Amino acid sequence: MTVTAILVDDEHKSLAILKNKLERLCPNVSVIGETQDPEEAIDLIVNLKPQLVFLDIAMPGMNGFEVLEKIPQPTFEVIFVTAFDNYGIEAIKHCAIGYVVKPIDSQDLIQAVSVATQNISDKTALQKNTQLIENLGIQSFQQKKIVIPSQDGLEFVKVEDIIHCQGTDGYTKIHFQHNKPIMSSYSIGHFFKLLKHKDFYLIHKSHLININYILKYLNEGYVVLQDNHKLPVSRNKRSDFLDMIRNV
Amino acid sequence: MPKKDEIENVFSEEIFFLLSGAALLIALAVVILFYVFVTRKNKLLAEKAMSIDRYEKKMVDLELHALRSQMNPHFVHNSLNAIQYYIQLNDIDQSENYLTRFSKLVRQFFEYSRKQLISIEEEIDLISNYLALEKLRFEDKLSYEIICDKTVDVEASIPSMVLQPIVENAVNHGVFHKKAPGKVTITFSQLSDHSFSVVVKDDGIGIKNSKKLAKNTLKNQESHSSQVLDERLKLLEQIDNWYVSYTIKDRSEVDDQQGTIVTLIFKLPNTL
Repeated sequence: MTVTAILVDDEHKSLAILKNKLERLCPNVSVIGETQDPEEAIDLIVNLKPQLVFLDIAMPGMNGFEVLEKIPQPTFEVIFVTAFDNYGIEAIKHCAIGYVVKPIDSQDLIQAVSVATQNISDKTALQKNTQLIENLGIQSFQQKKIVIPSQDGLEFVKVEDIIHCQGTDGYTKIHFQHNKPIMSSYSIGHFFKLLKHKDFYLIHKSHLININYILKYLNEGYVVLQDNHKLPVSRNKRSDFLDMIRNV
Repeated sequence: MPKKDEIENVFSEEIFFLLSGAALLIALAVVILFYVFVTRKNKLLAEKAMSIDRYEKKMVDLELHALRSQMNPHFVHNSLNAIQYYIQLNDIDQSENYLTRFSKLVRQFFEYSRKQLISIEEEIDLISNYLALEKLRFEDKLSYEIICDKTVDVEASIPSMVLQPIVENAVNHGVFHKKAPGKVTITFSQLSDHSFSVVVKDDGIGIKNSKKLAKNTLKNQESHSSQVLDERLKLLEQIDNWYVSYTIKDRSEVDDQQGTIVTLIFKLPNTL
């Protein structure tokens, strides 16, 4: 499937690298516009209506997130391109949006483009982009929503509502305070990275818990959560876990 | 008469009693004082030992902090990105030039972050290497000048890891956000036998606008570099008696121009 794309990066070198790589590695991508100016990027995107936008984060005057925010209907897939931005990358990951880091690795680029190409037919870009903008305005981690691809599409879940994530055979079952559990085809490792925050603790190789839901700790090495799940704490994690609990 | 004797006896007995009582009290007081003194001294020693411990820990923390703030990941990855560009162009000379310059700078970062003091000459070399690399990235958008007054003793020491983060701020927060080309000027001047100043001046968007931009965008924790600097300067003062003061001014308040001026004044330790 041919995908129309616009490239936005304030550095001409970065634009050249990306264009060169796309031509060589992703022949299905057709570059219909490129710009070094964030202001111009908004006009370009609104007028040309691309399916995919490669967006640099750190740009003079206006960063990539602000560019996205200023577009009335961001219905296109985004692949963020960034040299380094811890905070930004976390936020992007939370919303299951694509990104590549500079210097761009060929395999990473091919992978990101292939995922974005698949996503275009799902028409979920608007929701994800809107969620990203919303999350960036929220300070508290527990109040943010993360996007989880599940069997029937995307689930937007508030971090606060997650009680625990349970890994099973490479899949992950996520248990919530109010809603029914959902299954994700991502492994527990993915959620460990996604929920990298002091409120989440990997008590066992297949159990990641939201510590706000701990009811009690049993001396034989179990925690009981508010949904009455009794989960084991790995022997080698017990002392660290108890230290952490005491300090909360 | 015996009465008088008796009275005298009683009197002297009383005096004896009082005196011995007083002696006893004094002895007791001495013992108590001695005890208090010894425990006080032990406590002070313990406190001192603890504060040295804490100091050493803090020093290590700060060294790491300084290294981290100098080896700005943004800078590292942007440099590597530019090298990728020349590799793609098959420009062997420029790729190698960039790579070796970058490698040289990383080497300096590692070496100087372990030292407390470096010479002004070394500092100038580090800053000019750093700016040369940024120039390769920014091209015509960035120019720079390092001025060192003839009266400055370039062999003299300067605390390491103080200046580079300030210069980096001038590039990344000042010049970066400016549409037109920008310039960074660094001037070393001798103030007296025992003090010198370094002025880092840019004609970028100015600290006021830069802060506004940072506030408008992400609630990033990027701007804590000045806090790191404050802590570092405070420790330098406590430990090595270096006294370093600095001011940051928006040029709109100084010379009616655009940009930021940071003035650092270094006073040598033995003059305090």
